[in-house]
Amino acid sequence: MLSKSSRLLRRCFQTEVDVIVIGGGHAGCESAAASARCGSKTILVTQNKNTIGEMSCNPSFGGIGKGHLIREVDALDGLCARICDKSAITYQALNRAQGPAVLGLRAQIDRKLYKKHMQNEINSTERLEVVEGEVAELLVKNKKVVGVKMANDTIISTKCVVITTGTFLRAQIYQGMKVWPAGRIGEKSSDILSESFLQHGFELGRLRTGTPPRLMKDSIDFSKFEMVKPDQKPIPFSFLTENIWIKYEDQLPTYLGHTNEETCRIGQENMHENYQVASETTSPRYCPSFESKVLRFPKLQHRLFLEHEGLDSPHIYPQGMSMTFKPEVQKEIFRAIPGLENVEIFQPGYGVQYDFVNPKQLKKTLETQKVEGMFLAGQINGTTGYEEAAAQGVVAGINASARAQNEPAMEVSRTEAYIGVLIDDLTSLGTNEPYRMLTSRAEFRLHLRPDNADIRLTELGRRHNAISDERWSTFSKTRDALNDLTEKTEQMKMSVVKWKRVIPKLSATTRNEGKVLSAFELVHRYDLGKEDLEMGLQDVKVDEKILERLKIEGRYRMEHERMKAKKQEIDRESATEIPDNIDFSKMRGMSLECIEKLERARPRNLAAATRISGITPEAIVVLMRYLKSPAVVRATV
Amino acid sequence: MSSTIFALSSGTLPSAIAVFRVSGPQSLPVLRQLSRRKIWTPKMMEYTKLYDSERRIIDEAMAVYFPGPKTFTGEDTAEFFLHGSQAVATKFATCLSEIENVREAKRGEFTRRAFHNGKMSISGVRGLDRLIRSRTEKERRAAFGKMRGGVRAVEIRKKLVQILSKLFVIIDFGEHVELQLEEAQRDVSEILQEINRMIAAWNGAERAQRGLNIVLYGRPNSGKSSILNQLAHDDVAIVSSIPGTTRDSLVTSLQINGVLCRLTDTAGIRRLTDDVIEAEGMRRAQQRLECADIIIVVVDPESTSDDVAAILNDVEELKSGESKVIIVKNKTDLKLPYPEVLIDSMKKCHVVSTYATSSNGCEELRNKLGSLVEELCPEANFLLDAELLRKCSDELTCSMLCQDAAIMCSHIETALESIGELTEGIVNENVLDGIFSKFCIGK
Repeated sequence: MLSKSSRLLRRCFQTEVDVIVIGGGHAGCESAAASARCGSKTILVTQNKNTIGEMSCNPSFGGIGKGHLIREVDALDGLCARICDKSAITYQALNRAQGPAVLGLRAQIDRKLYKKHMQNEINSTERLEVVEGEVAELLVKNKKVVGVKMANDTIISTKCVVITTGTFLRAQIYQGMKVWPAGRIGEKSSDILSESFLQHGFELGRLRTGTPPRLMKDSIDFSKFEMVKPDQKPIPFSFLTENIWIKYEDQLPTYLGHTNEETCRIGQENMHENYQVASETTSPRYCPSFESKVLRFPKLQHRLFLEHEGLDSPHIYPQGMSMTFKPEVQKEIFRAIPGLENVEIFQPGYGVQYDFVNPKQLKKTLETQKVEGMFLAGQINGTTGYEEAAAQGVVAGINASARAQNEPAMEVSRTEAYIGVLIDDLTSLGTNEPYRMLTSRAEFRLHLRPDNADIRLTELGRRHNAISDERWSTFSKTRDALNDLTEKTEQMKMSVVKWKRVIPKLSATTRNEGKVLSAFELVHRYDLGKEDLEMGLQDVKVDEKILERLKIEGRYRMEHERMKAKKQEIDRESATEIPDNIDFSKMRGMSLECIEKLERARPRNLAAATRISGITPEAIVVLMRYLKSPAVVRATV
Repeated sequence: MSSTIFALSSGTLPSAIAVFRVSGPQSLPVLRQLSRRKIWTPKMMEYTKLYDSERRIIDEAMAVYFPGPKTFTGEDTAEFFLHGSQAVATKFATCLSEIENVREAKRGEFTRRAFHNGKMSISGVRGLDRLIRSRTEKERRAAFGKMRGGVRAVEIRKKLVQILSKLFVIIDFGEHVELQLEEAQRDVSEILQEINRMIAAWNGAERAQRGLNIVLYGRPNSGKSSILNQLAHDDVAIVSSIPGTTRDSLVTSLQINGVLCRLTDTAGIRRLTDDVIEAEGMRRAQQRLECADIIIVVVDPESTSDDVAAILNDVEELKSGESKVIIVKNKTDLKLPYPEVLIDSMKKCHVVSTYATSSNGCEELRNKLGSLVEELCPEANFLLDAELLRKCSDELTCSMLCQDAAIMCSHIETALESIGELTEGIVNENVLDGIFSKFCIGK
């Protein structure tokens, strides 16, 4: 196939670009914008221009771990945080009580607005062009990407391709006993690309996911649900957002309700008529379908949230109720819930099964190991969620541009960012279920916070040309102000008794009077406000936002010091690679159980091996000994 | 900079020699500090005294310094050959861990460092090999147990992982479950109690090292000195029928169940006395009570209710929290009634009867002492358990005070590591599996 097309290549080249991004979802938009931002001439190929920026499942962005990712995308000058802040209709951050390290930025987003703003952004991005059509073939020469052939036979030559086709690879939709090919309801799946991957020797796996039905708003009695109000003090996603566009009074609440025995019974009675349930494909544990909730925990009342799909949308999204029963059954189940007795379904829920590319075949730059210039990002790598997709998109876009421009690639380590954790987990261990970001996956959790994402990543992004001048200047100001205030508050030290004389707020404290504290410590220990600190420091103007950041920094500083040594070890073990052809069964002293687990996971480095469930410390010791035995060392040199 | 680690590299104590190995950039400074000597010729074993931070001698020992990279771990290394007693080794280990940037090695850490420095071919640390050779789960557990805190440590580790799971549920899925930080803190407090009990057991082992104090206490002429003589098989005290024969405290040593005990006879307690010397004797007797591990209160039928009440009151007020009290009803051979106040106290204390004038009247007391010694000094079999447990206990105590879920997690992770995870990365997937088997979460 390749030799034939290469002759064609020479004849039919029409356009020549640096980077082609296939797919206009969250990964695709971020990739394309990042690549263009970095200075590469970029084309975004989509089946339909109008679906760019589509939020195909939940009408919300963020959550725990996910909010961290959005902030990191923003710190790399990505789009989604800014677009969210233009389209949010309800801000409801999670975990406010659990401390700033695990704060979950979250908001309900108006689908229509998000899509509109995203399309505006894409269309107005310099060096970025959108092309409508279907990619028929990836053109690869000497294991290097050289171009793509479109279904209409035009050929676009390029140095890099970023593939972000989400759940569209050989996708099939499930509803009751019906199964038909489609990526999203009413949209074509891409079967040709799957073939292409197989031809190039990629290993594919299969996953499933689902989406709940959409309900008609005017058929719901909301008074029977518990109202969840928007946050009084909304926290925007982007570091660049000064003010939220929507007033508190105009934001729409969400509603909390519960399933009951009757919903459960109907579910159980109809379980036999459900193809998706019968299939053995792995579904997301983190976002279980109604079916799996009923099967695993039949006695529980499960929570469901009613969320607005948009400011003026007539539809409601019932979060927590994704299901693949046939439409009549779905209606029956919903009508058993108080407040939904007369509910009408606008579009029934359905399941999707799709191919994904085993992400262990990727480098940490998200370029494939097999084909130079081919990058993969988003659900195609086995992840779930808009934010996970966007995060990979930015990294793939920056690196595709770097490859095209012959510049050094950008790697993000797992001790630097959640993005690093995500990519390291995927590339070193792979996944056998849709991968979702969780704070529990990040060893360096106390440092990887939403508040300091810019400090962690913006300079890195700037070194790779991914940061616009506007953001860079805003960031530089923030960074300098934070450093300046940190230095000033650290230098100012005196006993608590003396502090009490200048800061009235402290007068009530009686503990530790003799103790000498710096203003830096004082701020977080006694939760000082702007006025308090200004009284204490004199002559120093304090910015409220900077003070908040300083306070959080102080709160975690002690713990942070302790984690530094740990960081070194994590980095070092991640650097110890396990050769692909290793035979775990040959390791003397390894238990059968561990051999089996290692064999199944085939970790790519030592740190990844320690993260496998059920791997004992002893097995790690055996593995280490083996890796360093003369025979193995000789083989790898 | 990586930290410097140490471990007892020889086998179980007591033994003739205890070998400590120190590895890391601080090895030479550590050697210099402990020996108070500047110059150490590489690879030359030399005699030296070792001092603690207050310049008290820990032990006389042989020590040697090996500069890296030609060492087992590839780092600078020092080795110390001390006398192989538990007390010396514990003291030495404590001194080492007090030095900044020096800590006890984690399981397999020497090997791991050796590995990272490309030194793995020289086969390694004892215990590790046993681990590697162990085939069955039971064997593994047993070997595991040998290395750290035993089966109970494994249990604690399991429980900590459960708590961690719970915390992660709270952090990652708070909106879907009704779990609060307080609930996790309640679980922590349960484990903390258990760990503190284990620490107490370890304190018993330390107590065994220093020896137990047993104090005889009672009114004059109740027969304390006779009991002492009986127990010591020796006429240590002058016995007479004149009340107040013992004017000052008298100490004798004896072995009970292998533990060295100092048995102290005290002057008899009388509420009113004009005799200056006798009063001083009584004051000293009361002092003795404060540092007693076991107090033997001796009463006889001639004691009045008031006498007994006063004596029991003294004991109650002065004894330390953990000490045990035995009430000895002496002179049972007289077959006379005892004051009624005793009945109440008898419920709370151990009571034995003796007839101290006869040579075999003390058997029951001897047995009772034996079992109390056992209770106070249980067998503890590994050197640094207490250090680890204390660290674990500190971390858990800190975690109880946290309002920040992420910081609480971090304390529990550190506690978990301190009782034995080889891997620095958290037991991520294990934790997740735990979560998903117990909770229904997700949107």
